Amino acid sequence: MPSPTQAPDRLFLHAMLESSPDHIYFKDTESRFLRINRALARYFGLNDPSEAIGKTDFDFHSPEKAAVRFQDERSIMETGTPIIDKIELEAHRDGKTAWVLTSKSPLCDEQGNLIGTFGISRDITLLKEMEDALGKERNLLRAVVDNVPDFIFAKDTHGRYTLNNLAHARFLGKETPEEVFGMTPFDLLPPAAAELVHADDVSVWKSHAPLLNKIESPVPERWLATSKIPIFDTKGAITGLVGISREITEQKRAQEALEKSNAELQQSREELVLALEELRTVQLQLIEAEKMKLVGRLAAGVAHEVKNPLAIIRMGLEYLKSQTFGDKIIPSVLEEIGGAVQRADSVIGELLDFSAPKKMNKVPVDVNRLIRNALMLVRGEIAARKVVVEEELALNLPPVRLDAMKIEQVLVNVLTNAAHVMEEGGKLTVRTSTRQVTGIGANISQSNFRPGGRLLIIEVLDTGPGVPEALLGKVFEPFFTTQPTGKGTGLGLTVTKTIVDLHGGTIEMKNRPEGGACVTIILDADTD
Amino acid sequence: MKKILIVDDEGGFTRLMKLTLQKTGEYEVFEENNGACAWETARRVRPDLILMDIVMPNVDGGDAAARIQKDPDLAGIPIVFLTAIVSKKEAVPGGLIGGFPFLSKPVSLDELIACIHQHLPH
Repeated sequence: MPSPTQAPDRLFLHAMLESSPDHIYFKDTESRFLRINRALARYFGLNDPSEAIGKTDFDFHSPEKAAVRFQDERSIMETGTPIIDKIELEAHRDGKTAWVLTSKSPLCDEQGNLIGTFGISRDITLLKEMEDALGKERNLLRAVVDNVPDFIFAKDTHGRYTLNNLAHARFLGKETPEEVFGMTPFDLLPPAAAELVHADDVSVWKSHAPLLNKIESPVPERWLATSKIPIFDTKGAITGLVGISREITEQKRAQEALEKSNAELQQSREELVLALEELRTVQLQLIEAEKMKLVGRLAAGVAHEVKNPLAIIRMGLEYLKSQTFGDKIIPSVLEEIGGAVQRADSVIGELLDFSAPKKMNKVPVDVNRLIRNALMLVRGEIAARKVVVEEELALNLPPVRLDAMKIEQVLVNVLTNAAHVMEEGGKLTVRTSTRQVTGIGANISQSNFRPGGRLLIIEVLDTGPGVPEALLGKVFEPFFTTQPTGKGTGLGLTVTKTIVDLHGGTIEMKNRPEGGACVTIILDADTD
Repeated sequence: MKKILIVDDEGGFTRLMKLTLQKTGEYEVFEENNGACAWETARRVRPDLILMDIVMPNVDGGDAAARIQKDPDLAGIPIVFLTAIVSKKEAVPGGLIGGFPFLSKPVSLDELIACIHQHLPH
């Protein structure tokens, strides 16, 4: 039995003609079909390949196409040169078209005489359609890439640009994408900026992870948000990256302007808040001043109306004192009445002091000396109650400009008050100190002290029973007193606070944790 | 006996003052309750000292004192204001109101006599 390689050529030819999906034909020198294969017969709509013998392309194709083929075959036969891989559009008589890839050659007999042509055609319509679709897609993509305002680029693993759009080329200072092709950032950007860009590229290649929306400024005064995505070949090896950058210079400037105006707004707001607080303080002071003017007029009127009857009672008492009475009690009754007149008169007197116009006579004063004077003035009150005085006066206290008589009155009032609450004796401590204003502390929360300014602090501490917490806020209010009727007018601490207010200072009373109360007076030591 | 004129719209006050001062036996006391009549009364009485209220209806103590001072016949008479509108603290010794010494109401007999002695011509 012969081996397959020994089979006759006829068998191979027959197999090929029967089974090949390509169209195969043989023609004589007049371009008449000598033989066609089964696939071409099917294509022509014939039941059997033999039906084509003796016919020409004019029997199956449009006259124009048939004429082209006829001419091609004439040329092959005249020149002996084959036509290889010619792509042509075939048009059937029924109007159907198809793209084919054709190769044709001269056909010679065994002696080398030209006896016709033969050819083979492959229907590539599907491939041609796919190629057209791909081409359209590529063109669309290119149009998009070239026309978007964002910068699009691709690089190989050496950092060379393999693709750029127009916007990116122009950003890099070139006219066309082709000029940028093959260059690296080091050819196009300042060295420092190129280093940064390259470092990002390397990081993407090494990590195989995309870099998203990195804000960078590769060119002075211009800002980009850049994303870079690694690209891989079919085996997963890195081949480069694609990137897209959006210019955000305007947004960045707007953001900076916004931040600046936000900061300015914040500052204005703070200034407004301060101004508002100042206005409120001034408003309160004005209201207080108006109230005090009214109280002043009221006090003067009351004083006049009350002092006159008191004067009559007093004079009546003087007259009666010069008389002799059988009843021995009468002189003591007259004394009582005299005491009451004196008490009423002193209440009126303090009311007048409280409401009198406040004119200040400020001079530089040694406050420690003022305190010692005040202690001298109240020594009677202190001695009567066996109160021990402890002075903790700061050395080298600077002279402070204030109304000495008025502040002395403040000190006398506070010291007297402290002595009065220690009926069974105790310790009275007077302390002076200075301090720098660093911020708003508890003691100076309501004041207008300037930050950085110097404060004078006077503290008067007693060991008495203290003040009930609920009443602490009222101690400076007019007519508030904890002492029995007849022992205080309730105006002493109010006058005291008014004087301290006039000096722009603060006064506060607190209970001490160890017992007793502490009065703190804070004055501006830098006042001029 | 020294003559003292008291000018004050408070009739009760002038009456008791007159009684009290006269009781000392050293003074002859005259009352005037109308500021407008103070000058006429002063001309009539020719006092050695005048005690003058300040706040009075129509003509107050200041105007009345000024008119008396302008009169050459009365100009040498010392005038002391007696007033209810200043506090005791302000009525310090040597204190003046409108150039005149003053006493603050209510006033004790001792204060009054001390003041009279101080200002009466010797």
